Formats: sequence, structure tokens, C-alpha cells
Amino acid sequence: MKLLERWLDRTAQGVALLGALGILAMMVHITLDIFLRSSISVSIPATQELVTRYYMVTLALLPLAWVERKRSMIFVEAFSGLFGSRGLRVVDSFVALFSASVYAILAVATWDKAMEQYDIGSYVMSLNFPMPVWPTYLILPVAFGLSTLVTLARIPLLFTKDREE
Amino acid sequence: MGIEIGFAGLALLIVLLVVRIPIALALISVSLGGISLMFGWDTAISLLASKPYEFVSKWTLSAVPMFLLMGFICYHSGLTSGLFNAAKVFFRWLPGGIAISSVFASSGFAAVCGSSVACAAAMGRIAIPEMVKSGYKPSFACGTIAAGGTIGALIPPSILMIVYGVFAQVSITQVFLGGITIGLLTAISYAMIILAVSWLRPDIVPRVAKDAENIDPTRALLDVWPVLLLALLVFGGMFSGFFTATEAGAVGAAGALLLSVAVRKLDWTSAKKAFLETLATTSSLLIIGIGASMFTLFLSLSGIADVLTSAVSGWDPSYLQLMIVVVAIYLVLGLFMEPFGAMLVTLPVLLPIFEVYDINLIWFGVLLVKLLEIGMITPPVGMNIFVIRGVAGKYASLVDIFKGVAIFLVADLVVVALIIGVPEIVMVMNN
Amino acid sequence: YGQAVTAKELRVAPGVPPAHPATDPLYTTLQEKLPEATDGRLTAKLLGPEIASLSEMRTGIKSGLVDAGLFLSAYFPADLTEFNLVGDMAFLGANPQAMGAALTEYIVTCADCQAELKKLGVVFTSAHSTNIYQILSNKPVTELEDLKGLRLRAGGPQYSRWAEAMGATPASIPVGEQFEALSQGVIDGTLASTADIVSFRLDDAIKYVTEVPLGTFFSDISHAVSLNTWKSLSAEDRQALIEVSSLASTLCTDRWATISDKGMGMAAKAGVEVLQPSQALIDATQAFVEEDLKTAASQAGERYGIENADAKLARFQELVTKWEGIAEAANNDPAAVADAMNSEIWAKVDFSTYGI
Ligand code: NA
Ligand code: NA
Repeated sequence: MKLLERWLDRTAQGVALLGALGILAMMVHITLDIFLRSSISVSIPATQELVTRYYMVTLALLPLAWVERKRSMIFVEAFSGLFGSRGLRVVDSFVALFSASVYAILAVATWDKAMEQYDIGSYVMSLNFPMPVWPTYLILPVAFGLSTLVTLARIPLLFTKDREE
Repeated sequence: MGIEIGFAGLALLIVLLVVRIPIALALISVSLGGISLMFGWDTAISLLASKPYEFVSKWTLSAVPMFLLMGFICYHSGLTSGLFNAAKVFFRWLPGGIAISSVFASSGFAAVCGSSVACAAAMGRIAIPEMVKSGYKPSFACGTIAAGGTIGALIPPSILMIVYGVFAQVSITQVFLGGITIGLLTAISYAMIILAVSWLRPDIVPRVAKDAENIDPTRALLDVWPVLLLALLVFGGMFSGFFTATEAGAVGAAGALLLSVAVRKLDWTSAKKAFLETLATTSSLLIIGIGASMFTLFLSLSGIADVLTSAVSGWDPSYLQLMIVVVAIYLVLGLFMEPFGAMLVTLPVLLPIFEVYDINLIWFGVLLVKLLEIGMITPPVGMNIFVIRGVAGKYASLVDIFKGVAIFLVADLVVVALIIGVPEIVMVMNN
Repeated sequence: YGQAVTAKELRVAPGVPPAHPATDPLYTTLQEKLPEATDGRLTAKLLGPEIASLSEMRTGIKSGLVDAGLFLSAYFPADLTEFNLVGDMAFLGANPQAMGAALTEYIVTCADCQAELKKLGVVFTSAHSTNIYQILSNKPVTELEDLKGLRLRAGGPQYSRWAEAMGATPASIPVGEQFEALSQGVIDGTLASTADIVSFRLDDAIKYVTEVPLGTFFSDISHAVSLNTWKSLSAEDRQALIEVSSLASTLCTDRWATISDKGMGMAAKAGVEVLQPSQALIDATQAFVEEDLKTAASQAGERYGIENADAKLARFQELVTKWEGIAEAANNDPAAVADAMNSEIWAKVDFSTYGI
């Protein structure tokens, strides 16, 4: 159990690191593109495609497991008082189970999509250059799959804490 | 049959939100279930498999993480305290001068900060202790900053406006321009509230600050140059044609990073914090966007949007009646929901109605952001209040802060009435 | 009426807002004429872009949500390499009505194209074309030299190659950002139809229109029908649907011309200057088009493994010439061109097997 927890923490931090690198890369890339085109009239090739297909997909979706791990998903807190502390634990396990199911469905669905895109070797035209985009579709099943594990792992933890108290 | 499924979906959504299911997952699961009831599981899954990718891979949306990053870097590198000192040079001689200064410092910081929470957090850490020290009632000091923070989402850059622009398909630059007027109007209205309180209740807001420290005006104004330079870089570059509003975020973030390293105010730890906060905010926000775009699809397919639209057309409210309904909807939603969720859940229903009424969507974007920002300071869920509690918790309890901010709601409602009564105010900068 | 009971409602999606010519007349015609052409057996329900936009059309059709939708092959290049070989040849377009019909005849009779369409799961019906593209800019362009160093938005691979050949810098900018990029000077101009002046309010963002003919955009499937839906239709209804589609396409092409004229009117009102290109610029463009046919053929072979690309392009050119003759003889009348498509193309198709 402890081992799984530690592995999940590491993985969550790993995807966060990749996401942060995505942010950094996007910032540097767009700024450099603007700088080069206004100083020496040169554009970095495929900026728009890299930003939308690579950086955005990486930084928005990949860190999802990390966001779940630190419980930063946005939810409506207003009614928490209704449940009481014991009830809240039951509700939280339900939320964890529910979330895990939704993530699992997403993981399977996006995996199929990723395989389809891999099969056709999908690309987009960046001016006159065919820019491959199929690899970016693989980010989704990874992101949703890890989120499934993270939310599932929360359930036993809720009751372990119960015993410790 | 679609319509029954649509209404059942809305009801189920509310139930899921009450039992604390994350907003994004509630939206996604209800849409998945609803679409599969109407069109079969295969169709629903196939849409679900494509929506997340199609939603996030948008050029315009890339501005969201960039503007967030710019704000978080400024905050963590303390560029904000310089702004506060500079504002004090101008306003501290007024009754309630420190509070007024903090409101205008918030407005200044708003020009480099994309969100209201980041703005409130940044100003709260420096201004609240000082107000309390100078004899302000702590709850009022906290309330001032919580309210002042909302200006962060009104004066551009504004993430709320960007997300609205993407959904309503209107020019983000034009919504930004409308936000400048309303942001400044909000600041002025808050300053008047502070003046009035100081005049009526000197026990809450001292007319003359005690322990008045000496500020060297030259030094204070010098401290503000990094923020000014940054605002100049972003707005100057945007309006003189070096880059578009979407690209401005990246330039701003890079500028903030370089500047704060140059003035030696950013170390490795705070840089890391800025990046991770940007990441967490972007990711939790865009997944709601994915859910909302699925939900839009579900509502349109169920025909519920048509029913509501024709219901409103059948009732045929006047412009004023319609606006009262809209304001009421957002004030009620704003009590419980965070602004992105509230906006993305309602737009699919409201935008078609506005089309019938030929309402200017740029104008509405500004009104919408103002209304959503009111929700940031109303109980029981007020994100700005929570943030202030986080950064200045030793001065006031949650209930105290809600009490302290209440008076500013009066100013907010006046501004809302002005936006609706005199729509031209919003469009001043656009013409 | 027993017909009402058996009527099948097709969910159709233009993927663009109501004011766009791809909605009216391309889809409104379908909605109006389909019931009468099929004796009430088929009707059409329009889905808005909030349900399926152009970039989401592949998902919309493959998921079964959309029965027929406007499919721009440039959005999904990996699925339609054969299609795009000719579809990308924008500069061959001189007569818009001829381009829609020529592409239709080419795709219907191209076995490799039909194979990739079948794999994708859509059935080709007909194509339409925009009006002639020109240079819309905020710097004056009349000479070849004026183009040097100019940043121009290029909406396709061939436009990008043309800009580079002329010494300009092609820029890849989303069409929705075109207005902002132009008005703020991030780009100096755009290669587009003057219809964009109407659709994107470019009259406030440009100062010049240079009337150099830069081809047309015709790489589309006006009503791409989901293969599953297609299979569920009788041969008779398939033919009726396709004939309505052809008429809707020619009406849409015609509407593009009307809107382009309107765009010129708006431009004139806003003080936009209309410039005539020098002979040298026209000649350089002509020379580029001839040379580019070879480039396109060799790239198609190297990059996508397309066989006999030069022969395929030559055949498409022949069809363009053929349809230019027909369209001119018909005075570009939409109904007459649609009739010619029926007799020249569809009369030779076996609808019990086409597309399946
Ligand atoms: Na702001
Ligand atoms: Na609230």
C-alpha cells in the first residue's frame, strides 16, 4: 500500500514537472517567435501547431493526476455542512469511486482515439509542412488512466485515517 | 423525449454538484449519459473521446496559462508592494487613505494579473497588516482587499474574459477594452464607499491614519517601475501591432520572469511555486471547460435550449425584465459556484436568447464578468474571501470578512445598474 | 399521408454560422428540396456549429451524430491524401463554377480517392468553390518587388508556396484571428476572397485590394454523408440526395460571387483602394503555377506515397478545362451547371454500389 502511495506521488510529481516544462516551452517559443519576426522577419516554423497540439494538450491534460492527488479539482463546497464529518467520509468515498469511473471511461475512449490517429498517422499542414500530431493523442489516455489510479487510491486512505483517529 | 432528458440532466447535475463531485466530472458524466440515452452509447463515447482534445487545442486558450503565469510571477516576486507604496503617495492624505490606496494598487496590479484571486492574495499580504496597524477595523480591511481583488478580472488581462470570448466567439480585445472602463468605475465606486464609511464611522475607518510612516515619494515611484514597464510592454506591444492579445500573455510572462530576476526578487523556490500554481489553475480550469463544452452539446441536442429560448420569447420580457432575470440568475449562482463553472454552465442557455434580443455580446461579456466577480465576495462560497482568510487569517474570521465586504456590494450593484442603464459606458473605449 | 410516417430525418451540419453561404444556400437548399426530391421519404434537420463545427466534422460524422456535413479536407489531411492532391491545387481555379464540378467529376471517377473515403467512412456527394482569391493588404502591392518581405496569411500549402516564390513570408494564422492580426499589423495582408471583407469585417482592417487572380478554394465535400447512413438509403434516394447536393453546391458557388461583390462595395465605402497588378506580377504567378504542378506531384509521391501523381494532376487539369467550357457556355448559371453535372457525372454512376 505504502509502495503504491509512493509510486503515485512520484508519478504525479513527474507529470506536473512535464506540465510545467510545457508552460515554460510555450512561453519561450511564442516570445521568441514574436521577437524574431519583428526584428529579422523570421518566423519559427509550426508555432501555432506546436502551441495548440503539443504544449496546450500537455500542460492542460497531463497534470490532471497531480491536480487530483493534491485535491485541487474545483467543486461546490457550499453543501458540505449538510453531511457531518462521518457522512462526509462516505460522500468522499462515493466521489472518489465516481471520479475513478469517469476517468476510466475517458481513458478507454481516448485510448481508442489515440490508436485510430496512430493508424492513420495523423498530421496537420503547417504552411507547406506536414506536421505529425498523432503522438499528442497518446497524452490523453495516460492522463486519464493515471487520474483513475489516483482517485481509486483515495478510497482505502479515507478509512485508514478513520482508524487512526 | 430529448427535452425530458435535458431537464433530467439539469436536475442530476445539481444533485452531483451537491454531493461534491468535481464540477468538470459532473458535467462530463451527465452529458455522456444524456447523449447516450438520445443517440446511443457508441455515439456518446465517440464524442467523449474527441472533445477533450478538440477543446484544449485552441490557439486563443493558450493565453490562459500565460496570463496566469505573469500574475503569479509578479505576486511571488513582490512586485506588488512597490505599487502599494506608490498608490499611497497619491491617496494617503485622503480620509481612509490607505484603504483607497490599496484599491488603486489593486487596479494597477490588475493590468498585469489575469485573475481576481491572484490579485486579492497579492494585495492582501501587504495591505491588510498595514491597515490594521493604522487603526482600521480588521474585518473592513480584509473586506476592502477582497472586493478590490475583483478588479483584477475586470481590468485586462482577464482570464474570465478570454474564456468568455472563446465561448461566445467575440473579439477578446474588444471585451478587454470594455473591461478597462468598468474596472476603473468599480475602483472609484469602492473609493467612495471607503470615504463614506470614514466619514460616518471613524471607528471603522480612521480619518487620519495613526503611526503614519514617512514615504519617500521618489523612492516609492521608483519602486513601481518594474510593474509599469511590464504593463507598458504588454499593452504597448499589443496596441502598436507587435503581437495579438493571445500572444501578449507569453510576452508578459517572459517579461515578468526576466524583470523579477533582474531586480533580484525571484528565487528558485518562488519561481517553482509560480509555475506549479499556474499549472494547477490551468488544468483544473480547462477540464471544466471540456465538461462545459460537452454539456453545451448535450443541452443543444436535447432541444432544451430551444425550449428555454422560446419560453423567454413567448413571455416576451422587455430588455429591462430580461436583464433583471439575468442579474438574478448570476447573483444566485454566484452564491455557490465559482465563476468559470457558473459562466460555462449558463452560456449555452443564455447566448441563443441574447441572439433573439440582439444584445451586444461584447457588452454582455463585461456585464457577465462584473456579475461573476460579485459572486467572488458573497457567502457562502466566495473565493476571494477564502483567499483573504488564507493570507490574513489572524486578523479576521470568515464571517467577519463577509461582514466587512458587505458594504462594497452596494457599490457593485450601483455599477451593475449603470452598465445596464447606460450601456454606452462599456463601449466608450471601443468607439 | 403514409409518407409522413416513413420519413427519415437526416441530421445535417454545415459547421458554420447561419449567415455563411455554406449554411444558406448550401444547407438550406438541401433542407428545402430533399423532401420533394424523395417524395417525402427524406427530410433534413439543421444542426448548428455549436453541435458540430468544421474542425469537429470528422468526429461528428464518424460518431453517428451527423448524417451529412460540410467536410473541408484540409482539416483532415491524413485521411484524404489523394483528395488533397488535387484539392490543394487552388491556383488552377479561374472559373469557380467549373472548379466545383471538375473536383466532383474527378473524385467520383478516382478509384484511389473512393478507397480512402470509404476507409474514412464518408461518401462524397459534390463540391463547391469560393470566389477568386486576391491580395487584401494594408500595404500597396502592384509590382513583384512590393511583395518582398511582406507577411501574408496563407490559408493552404499552395498559397504558402506561392508567397515564398514571390519573396513574401507566408504566415499561418487561424482564420478567426485574421482581423486582429491585420488591424494590429502583425501581418501585412491576407490571401483571400473579398467575401472575407463581409464575413470578418475586414473593411476596417485593410487598405488595398490587389486584383491579381490567385485561384479559388474548392477542396470540400459539400454534403459528406456518413457511410452507415448512406447504406441505409435506397439507390433511388441516394441519387435524389446527390442531385439536390449538386444544385446546392452550384447555388453556393454563385452566392460566394455575390458576397465577394458585396465585399468590394463595403471596401469602396471604407476607402479601400483597388489596385491592378503589373504584367510582371501576373506572369510570375503564371510561371509559378506551371512549375508548382511538378513540385506538388513530386511532394505527393515523396511524402504520402501517392502513385502516378503527375498523371492524376494532368487528368484533373483536363477536367478543369472541360468544365470551364461547360460553365462558360451555361453563362455560369447554377441550375444549368447542376444539370450538366447530372448528365456528365451522375448519369454514369450506379447508385446501388456507389460509395459502398
Ligand atoms: Na487583470
Ligand atoms: Na459567492
